[in-house]
Amino acid sequence: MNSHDEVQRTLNPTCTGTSVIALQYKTGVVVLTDRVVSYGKMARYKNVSRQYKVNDNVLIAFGGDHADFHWLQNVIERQVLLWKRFDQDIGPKALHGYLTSLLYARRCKMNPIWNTLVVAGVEEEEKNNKETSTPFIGVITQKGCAYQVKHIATGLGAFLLNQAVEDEWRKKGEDLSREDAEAVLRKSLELTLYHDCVADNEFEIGRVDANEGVVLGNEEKIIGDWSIAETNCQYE
Amino acid sequence: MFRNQYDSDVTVWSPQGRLHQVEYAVEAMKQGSATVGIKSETHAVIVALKRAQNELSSHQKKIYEIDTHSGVSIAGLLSDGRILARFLQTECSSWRWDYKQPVPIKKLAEAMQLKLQANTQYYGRRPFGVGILIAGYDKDGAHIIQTDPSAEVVSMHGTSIGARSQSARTYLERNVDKFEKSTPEELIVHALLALRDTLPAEENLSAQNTSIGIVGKDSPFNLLDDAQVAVHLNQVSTHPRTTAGAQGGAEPMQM
Repeated sequence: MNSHDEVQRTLNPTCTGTSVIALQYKTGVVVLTDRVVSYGKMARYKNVSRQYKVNDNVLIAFGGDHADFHWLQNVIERQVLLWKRFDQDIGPKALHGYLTSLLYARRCKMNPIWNTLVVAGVEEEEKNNKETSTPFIGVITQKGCAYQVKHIATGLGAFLLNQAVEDEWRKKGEDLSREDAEAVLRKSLELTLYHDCVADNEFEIGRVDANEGVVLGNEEKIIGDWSIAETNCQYE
Repeated sequence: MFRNQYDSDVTVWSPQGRLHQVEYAVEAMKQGSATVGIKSETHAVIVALKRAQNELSSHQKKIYEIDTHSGVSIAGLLSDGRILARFLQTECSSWRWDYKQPVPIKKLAEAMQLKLQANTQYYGRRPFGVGILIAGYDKDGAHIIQTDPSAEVVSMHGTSIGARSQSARTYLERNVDKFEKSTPEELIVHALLALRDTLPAEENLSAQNTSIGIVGKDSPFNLLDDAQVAVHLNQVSTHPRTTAGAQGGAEPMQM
C-alpha cells in the first residue's frame, strides 16, 4: 500500500449487529445474540449468526460492523493455526489479549475495526485437567479498551441490561447453573426487544462448557408482552 | 578431524553428503564446559560448570533466565550463546505482549530451530558455535530442550552437552527411571551427580564453579549461585564418586 497515495480510514460502519449479552455460570459461559444484521435502521439480513466458534474452548460474538467481523474470522483462524504448530489450542485469554493488541493498534492508526467483541470460553489452567479450568468472558471495544467480566451486555444492552443482569448475578454468582443463566439471558433479551430499534425477536444462545466444549445455539423466537405500549406516552 | 576441500564454507556439501562447517561448529560446542538438564513431572533443572580463565577472573555466567517460566544454559562459544539467550528473551516478551501469557516452550523450540538453521544455509554466515539447554514449564508440563549448532532441536527427558558430557549422559541413562517422580531437591542432586561425572578425578564441584537453575509448577525460574549452590552440594558430597570424567581428547579450550 503506497502510503502517500491512499489513506484508509474507517468512517462509519455499514451493516451492523447490536447487543451481545453473556454470563458466566458454574462450568462455563452462555452468550446471547439476536440474528439480525441491520443496514442503518433497516433490518436487512435476517438469520445471521453473530457468534463464531474458534475452537472447542472459545466462542466469539460481535456487535458492530459485520464485514469487519467476517474479516476478523480469517485473522482468528490464522492464529488458531499458528498455535496448532506448537500443539496448542488457543485459549480465550490469549485470543482476548491478541485481539486487544490488534484493535488498539488499529485505533491508533485511526482505522478501527468497528466491532465490540465478546470472547467467551473456558480457560484451561493445566492441560487435560477439567477440574482446574475456569470460565472466561473478555470484552474489547472498537477503541481497543479491553477488560474481563463475569457478565456483560454490549451495545444498547449496556444501558438497559447491565443492572438487571448484575442483580441476577448477585443472587447466585458463580453457582448459577446453565439453566439459571439462560433464563437471565432470555429475560434480558425481552428488554432490548422493547427498547432497541435494531434488535430482533429471533435469537440464539451459544455456550462454552468445560465438559461439553462449544455448543452453538439453535434459533429461538419470542414475542414478548407489548401491553406496555399502551402506557407508553408517545403511543397513540 | 579432517581438513579437506569441502569445508571452506557452510554452503558447500561434501561428496559424502555432509556439511563440514556445521560439524566443526558442533566440535566447538563439545569444547565448552559441561551442562546437564533433567526434567521430572513437575520441574525442570539445569546445572552448569562455570570456568574461570585464571585465578584473577570471575567464573563465567552460563545460565540465563529468559522468562519467569523458563531458563537456558549454554555450552560452547559463550558469546554466541548470549546472543541466543537474548533472542529467546525477546521471543518470550513479544509473545507476552500479544497474548498476555507465557510463551509455550514448543514455540521457543521452533523459533530456535529457524534461527539456527538459517545460519547453516546462507553464504556468508557461520553456524552458532554453541549448544543450548532450554528448561521450561508450561501448560504441557516440564520441558528440557536440547539445541546444537546443526539446528537439531530435540525434547529430552535428560541430557548433557559440553566437554566430557558422555559421562554425564551415562549417569542419566542409568537413572532415567527415577526422574519422573523425583522431588525438585532430588532432581537437583541427580543433575549435580551427573555433572560431577564430567570432571576429572582431581577436580570437584564447588560453590564457585557450579550454577543451578530450576523451574516448575508454581515455581518461577530461580537461578542459584555461590552460597545457594553450597546447600545442594552438601547433599551431593554424601554420594561417593564412582566414575571420573574419562572422555579422552585434547585439553579443552578456555571458554
